[in-house]
This record gives sequence, structure tokens and C-alpha cells, in this order.
Amino acid sequence: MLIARQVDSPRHSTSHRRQKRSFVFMLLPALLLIVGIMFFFLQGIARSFTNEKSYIRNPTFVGFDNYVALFSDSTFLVGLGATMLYVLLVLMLQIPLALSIALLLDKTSFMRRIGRNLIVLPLLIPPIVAGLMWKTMMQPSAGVLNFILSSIGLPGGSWLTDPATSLLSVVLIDTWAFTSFSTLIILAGLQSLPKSLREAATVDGAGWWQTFRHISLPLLMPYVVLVALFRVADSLKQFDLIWPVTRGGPLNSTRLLHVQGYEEAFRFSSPAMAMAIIFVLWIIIYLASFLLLRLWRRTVNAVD
Amino acid sequence: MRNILGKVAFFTAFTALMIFILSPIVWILLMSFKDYADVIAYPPKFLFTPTLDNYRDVLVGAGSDTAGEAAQFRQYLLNSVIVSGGAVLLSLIVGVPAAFALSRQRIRGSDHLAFTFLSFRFAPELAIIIPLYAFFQQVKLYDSYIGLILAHQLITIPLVVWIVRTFLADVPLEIEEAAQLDGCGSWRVLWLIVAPVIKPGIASAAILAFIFSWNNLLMGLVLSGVSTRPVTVGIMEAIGFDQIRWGWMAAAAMIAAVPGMIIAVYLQRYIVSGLKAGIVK
Amino acid sequence: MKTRHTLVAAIAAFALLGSACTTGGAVEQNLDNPGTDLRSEETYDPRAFEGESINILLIEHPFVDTLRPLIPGFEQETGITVNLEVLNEQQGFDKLQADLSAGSGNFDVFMTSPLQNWQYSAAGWVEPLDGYVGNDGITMPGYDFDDFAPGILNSGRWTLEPLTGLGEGPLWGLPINFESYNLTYRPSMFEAAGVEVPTTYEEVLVATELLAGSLSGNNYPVVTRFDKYWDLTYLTFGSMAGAYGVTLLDEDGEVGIASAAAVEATELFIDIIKAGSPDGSSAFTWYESLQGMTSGRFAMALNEADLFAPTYENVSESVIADDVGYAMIPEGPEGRSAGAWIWQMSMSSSSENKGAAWTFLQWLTSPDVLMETHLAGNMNPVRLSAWENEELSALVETWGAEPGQYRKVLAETAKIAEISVPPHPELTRALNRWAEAIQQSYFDGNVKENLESAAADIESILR
Repeated sequence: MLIARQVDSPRHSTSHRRQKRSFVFMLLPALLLIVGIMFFFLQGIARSFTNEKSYIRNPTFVGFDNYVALFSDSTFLVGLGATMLYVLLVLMLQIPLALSIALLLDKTSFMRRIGRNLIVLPLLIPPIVAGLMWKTMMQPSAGVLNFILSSIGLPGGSWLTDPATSLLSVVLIDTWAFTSFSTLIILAGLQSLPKSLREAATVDGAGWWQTFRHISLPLLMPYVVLVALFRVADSLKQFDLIWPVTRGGPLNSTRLLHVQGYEEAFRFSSPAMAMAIIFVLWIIIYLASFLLLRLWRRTVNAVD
Repeated sequence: MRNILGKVAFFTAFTALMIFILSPIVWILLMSFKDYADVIAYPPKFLFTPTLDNYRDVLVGAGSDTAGEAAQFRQYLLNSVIVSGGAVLLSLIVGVPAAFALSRQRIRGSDHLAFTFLSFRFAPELAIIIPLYAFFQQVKLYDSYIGLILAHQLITIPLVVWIVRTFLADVPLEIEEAAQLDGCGSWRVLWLIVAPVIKPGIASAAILAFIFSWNNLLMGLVLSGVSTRPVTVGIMEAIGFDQIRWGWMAAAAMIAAVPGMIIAVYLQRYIVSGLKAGIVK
Repeated sequence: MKTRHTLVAAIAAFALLGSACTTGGAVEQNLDNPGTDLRSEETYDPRAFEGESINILLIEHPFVDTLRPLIPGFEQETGITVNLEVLNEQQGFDKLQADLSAGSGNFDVFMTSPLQNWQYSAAGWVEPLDGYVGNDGITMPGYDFDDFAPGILNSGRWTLEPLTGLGEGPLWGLPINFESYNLTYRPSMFEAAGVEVPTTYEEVLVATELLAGSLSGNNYPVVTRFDKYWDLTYLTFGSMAGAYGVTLLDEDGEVGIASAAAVEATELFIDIIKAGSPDGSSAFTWYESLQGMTSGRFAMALNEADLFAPTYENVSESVIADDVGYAMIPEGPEGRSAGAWIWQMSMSSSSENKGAAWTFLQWLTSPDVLMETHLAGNMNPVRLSAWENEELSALVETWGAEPGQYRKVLAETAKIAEISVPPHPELTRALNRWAEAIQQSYFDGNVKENLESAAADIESILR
């Protein structure tokens, strides 16, 4: 990681002081921004301990009541489960996929270069557009996806309209939109592997898979964990792919916590409860990131 | 023998990947050029006579009823440009010097500061947006460009600071030190010496920040109103209940995706280098 | 590190203080009769607010089509420019709420109902109208406020006290039509199957099964709305539940949706749907119900809005115009029960053109203008004098399988139609939760558990 470098001038010379002052000014606006963001965040958390709703004229402090209510509310619990399941599905699907695609597109060749250029496309399209594209294609009766599946003999599906398959369908859309992000990171990792590994098809006579599994993969672990870190956080707070596409899905099947927070604040006008949901979500993300970062450091040390 | 098998396997996998990546985009692109009858035709049509009507309807309107709606859509596009462009500009002005200061000055906790910026990317946006919603109403910043530009800093500043910081690490200090000995203050060092060297890095940061700001839905969904609604929210309004206007929606979606597609095709290298710098290093 | 912690603590303290100041949403409202001081001492002049412009949010509904042609006339008479925005229900209410809660005053006038207004008025977003009505300077002579059917008008009143006070207190909206529920049927299909028009819910199931046998292809016995939305439990299924003695809150004020009678009614309802509706009917909104019936595919519309009649009877909008009959809503063990839905127009309290907005409101709800909308298909009239109009009576006389059938059913239904839910700002949420439980039961069959779980959630919503 980045290490701040020492500047070689005598400690308290005027030029050094002047420089220090300039740096402070350079940092100041950014610092103000950080302070501002943290202020609003903490204020929001504070609100979650009140009973504020649109029709409560004078909100009062209610302690942990909102949180207790949340954990006895079936909708919240279903949403919590859906959020966890979503993350799990994303990891299980996208990490192996990203690895495979990265391996596929590694090395220089004309086709591979085209491939690497094209996979960035889904990432740069607004998620709402991606969601709408797939929603259109996934229409059970009139959509082109079921049509193509049936023409090659496979059964169509209810995709987004059935509570049993809706979450998986959104995961599919997520995979389409964001796997290239993970792929790019792993590609960078592959490029950082020692040349000998990259060029040799086998090492010491062992098969390619053996080489990969025992040597390359451990070296790639930091990148894989990095991918997991980003995907977990992004999946936990997924909103753009869900709200325009399913609005929380048939029967709460896709009502992830970020979506619930939005609804609570803007459909039910209960900002306090919304912030409670969001705070719970934030804690989950924080814990997950913390653990994954620790894992990441361990893999980095293992490599060295 | 093995070689041919390997090549066939690669080719199959590659084609499957390309089909997976490109077919939704191609399908909606096709749909945007279909007239109404072709759009609702089942089995879906792959061959048809294309028409520009949908794009015309979206951008210009096809009569006095839809002309107003089209003017509204054009306004949405303009709003996105103003908000995202303004957000990136502000982030560059604030973020580049900050990144410079963070990487050059061994302030205790500069790494912590940098990580704080990164942590914003992991936070659920509503954690900030909901408090901002109430605050903006009170200070009359609701439905204002300034308000949105400030709110978007949550997205754009972390990108700028992190990517520029990484690029700065690669700049040898000797040039700066030479300039300092010549009497240049830090600001001039930054502006005259360092910035030109890391121009690609700044470009990467700006492009990435712009596209992620343009693509954002939540900020505009909550904090914008009739005057400042960005195009992503505008599309959401239009889908409504049961999409009856498939062609319109497809054309609007394509238009909203234009910045992303242009960047993917022409400015690709900035994206990749930016992502790698910001995350991997 | 330590500095950072102190910094965070300082910000937190500041934030806590700040949270006391910036709480959004609730608007401080002046409840002492706004509207009384506009143009007081002057006589009514339609052009009093000439040059102003107002934005109106309308919910997609047959009423809107009857209103549109009349707008140019209004603009000419008053010099006020009117901008209509028409959205489908879900989107419309979402957008309306976003606008009202932001306090931006973007919409001056909006289409709403008592149910929505309970939420909006409790938050201070709705302008009470009594002051405007009583002000002769801005209300036309001949407005005849007492002509409104009292029950219908007063459903727009509420004292803002949760769970009580409906029908009293400030007037939050003026009615433009009202709707109740009946059984609309296709005489030809019933004849062909040799089935009598059902009069109880049990008979509905029997009739459905018999009809299912005789109908084929794309035709089905029953259409009714079944979306996971408050209108299911408030209106259509809500009426059926009422016939079983089930209401959201029972006489003791307890949540009553999971009682034995409720389970029985829910199971019967689901059986009817499964026996008689196509797959995907679990997402039917009133729009699909209406479209389904007018397309001729269904033998009966169960507990559907009676105000769809003008559409059914309109040759250019439906294929069943000469083959449609109206029967009373079926009976249950506890008798007949029917919900009442009233569409209203209200004024936003953040509007910056209240005078112009009121001019529009009183124009729209005046006897003449309302009558024009009725004649164009806006049912049912909310003014007592409406039925004295010969044209309207003659028109309605032709509706149904026999002359006067619609009018007769309507008159009988009006005797039992009532709002059987208590007023509460979060009532739509409670009703949504109930509807969700019913829909879930359709998929997984666990009627009792789903209803009980919903009852528990509703308990915490309402208290």
C-alpha cells in the first residue's frame, strides 16, 4: 500500500512551514466535506432513536424501541434474510465466473483484447437501464428470453414474477452488470503473477490445473478477497437493480434492506424507522468489510 | 490435437461470453428501432424495418401532447450533464490538492483519512441521503443543482482522491524537490509540475467519477424535484405500471446509456487504469 | 488516532444537537380556517385569479377522461392556466407523496380519497376547505354546498385523532364521485351454462365451478382484483370480509383479520380465484379487472366497482355493452356488506396559488360541471340533486340486463355501503400488510399463519 514519503528539508524552516500551511489549505475543503458527511450520518443515526414520522408533530426520544420493533417485524426479517441470501448467491456465482473470464481473457491476442474492451460495457451502463433491459427480456409470456430458451428446447421460467425465482433473477442481472468489475481486478492480479507462471503451461510436469490450484490461486487470493470485499458491500446495499425492476419483488422476496429503508422513509414517511433499518444495514456492511479486510491482509502477508 | 481442442474450447467460451455480455444491449438497441407493432409481436422479431420514431418521440415529441414530454426529457439530460459535470469539477478542485497533500505530507493519520474517503463508497447511500433530504428542505437546497452537486460528492470525491493518490505515488519526488529548491510554493508545484505529469490519472478519475455520478439513481430520486431531475430518474418515471411504450422506453434507455457507451468504446483505457489504480494498488 | 476519536465525538455531539432542529416532514399548519380572508367583502368573480397557473395531479381513472374536455372552458372563463399530470395509481400516489412531503408545493390540487388523506392531513400537507367553502367572495353563488350527500361529503372530514373522529372535523377534500361494489355478470354466459346468478359467496363458488366447465379457451368464470394492495382488503375482499363479520378492527378495537370467520372468508375467496381465474390473476389490479370484463373474457366480475358500468355500457370501449347485468354484492353469513370508495379533490397546504386552486375546486364540484362529467361517464353522483336530472336518469335507466337494473342495485347498495376501516395515517400500510397475507396464502396455502403474522404486524403499525 501507499507509504507517505518523507520530505528532505530541515524541520522548521520557513519554506517548510509555508509548505505545511499550503498542504493544510489543500486538505481543508476535503476535510470539511468529510466532517459534513459524518455529521449528517450521525444525525441520521440519532434520529433513529426517536419516533419521528410525518404525522408526529413533536418527535420524542424512544431509545431502542424502533430496533426492537424491527426485529419483531416479519417484513424486516424476511428482508434481512433476502439480503443475506442475495450476497451469498452473488459470491457463489460471480467469483468463480470472474476467475474463469479473467483466465479466458488473459494473455495478449486480438480476440482477447476485444473481449477485455467489451466486458466493460455493462459496468458503465446505468444500473437502472440494465435492470429495465433484463426486466423486458425476462417477461414470462412475451419476453425474448423465454422465447429463445423454448426454441432450443429448454423450459422458460417465471423469472421476476414468481417469489421463488425473483431473487435469483435479480442476481442474474447483477452478475451481468458487475462481473466485469471483478474480472478486471482479477486480470490485474493475473498480470502481477511472476512471468514464469504465466508462460509455463505446466510446472515440473504437473498438469495446468494443479499448477493453478496450488501456486497461482494462492498468489491471486488477495485479489479474490478484494473482489469479495467490493461485491459483498455493493450487494448488501443494492438498490438500483431492485427498485425499478421489482419494487421489492413479489411478496417481499427481493425487499433488501436498502430498499426497505427507502420505502420506510419515502412511502411511509417514517424517517426514524428508515434510519434504524439503514443503521442495521450499515453495521452489517461494516462488520463484513472489517472481516474481509482482515482476511485480505492475511492473504497479502501469505503471498509475501 | 490438444491444441485444436484448446482453441475450440476457447472459441466457444469466448463466444458464449460475448453473447452473454452483448445480447441485452443489442436486444434493447433493436427494440429502440422497432415500431409498435414490431415491438409487441410475438414470437419476437429479429428482422424488421427499423424506424427512428422512438428516438424522435423521446427527444422531440410527435405532436403537441408529447412535445412537452420530450422537452422534459431533454431537460433531464441537461440536468444530468450539469449535476454530474459540476460534481466532477468540484471533486477535482477539492480532491486533487487533497490527494497531493495526503501523499506528500506525512501527516499523522493521512492514511486514515484516505481510508475514510474509501469507506464512503461502502456506506449505504440512504444513510446520508435521508438526513440530507430533511436538511435540504430547511435550507432551500431541495431540487437545486448546488444541492445535488454537493450530495454527489459522496460518490465522486472518494474516486478522485483514491485514484489520483495512486498516480501521485508513481511520480518521482526529485522533480518536485528541484522546483521547491527553486523557490516554488506547494501550490505552484502542484499546478505547474505535478499535475501535467499525472494528467492521465486525473483524466481517469474524472471519467470514472462522471460515469458513476451520471449512472446514479438514489440521489436524484430523493433530492431532486421537477427542475433538477436527472435522466436516470426520468426513465424510472416513465416505466410506470405495465410498460405500454416499449419502444419509447428502449430509446430513452439507450440515450441514458450513451455516456457510458461512448466512454467504454473510446476512453476505455482510462477506465481500466483508473479502476486498477483506485482499487488494486 | 486519539484526535480522530475526539473529532468523531465532537461531530456526534453536534449531530445530536442538530437532530433536534432538522426533523423533516411534519409541516406546521395554521388550522384556523384558511381561506376566509381571501377576497372577503367582495363578490364572486371567476376572473379574480386571472393569469395564475395551477398544477393538478390526477390518478388514471375514467373520471379523468370526462374532465379533460371541460378544462379549456374553465381556462377561458377564469383566465387560469391548468396543467394536468395524469399517472397510474401506484406511481401517482408515490409521486404525490414525494411532492407533498418535500413541501415544494409543486401540485396545487390533487386527486385523492379519504384513505390517502388520513396520511396527508395528519402530516399537515392538506389545506382544510371549510373556510373556502364558506367564503362567498371566492365561491360561486349556486354552489349549493348542502346538496352533497351528507355521508359522502363527511367522509372527507376527520379530526386528526387516530382511530376515531371520522366524519367530523375539518373538511380535507371535496368528493367528485363515489363507488361501491356489486356483482357484474354476463347473462348470456350464465344462460349457456344453465347457472343462476349467485346471491351468496358460497353460491359464487358453485357457480364458478359450473361455469368453468362450460367456458373454454381464454374465457374464465371470475375476474376480480387481487393485487397485494390496500384496495383488496379495503374494498373488494374487504366487502366480502364484512359479510362474514370481519373488519380490520373489531368492536373491541382488536385487530380482527385472523379470526375464524376471517380465515373462512379468506379460504373461500382463494378457492373462488383458483377455480375461476387465470394464472397471473394474483397481480390483477382494478385496471386488469376492468379490461378483462370489457374484453368479454369473463362471466362475472366479483365485488368490482359499480362505477365501471359506464365503460361496460359504452359500445366503443367494451364488447359486452348489450350483454351485461348487475346484481347485488353477494351475501355472507352476517348479511351483506359493501365498502365505499370516494374519489376527492384536495388542495395542497404548500400551494402558492390557493385562490386559483380553490376556484378550480369549486368549479369542478359545482352542480353543473359535475353533471357534465356524470353524463360523460363519471359515476356515481355525489350530489343529491343529480338524480333529478332527466338526461342522467334516462341514460342510467338503460344499464343492465333489464331497464333500471343498475339504478336499483345502486340504490340498495348505497344503503349498506360504508367505510368500515378506522381513520389512521398509516392505514394504507396496515391494509397492504393484510393484502400481502392473503396473497401469500394464495401461494403457500397457510391462511391462518399468514393472517396471524399480518395481524401482529398491523398491531404494531396502528398503535
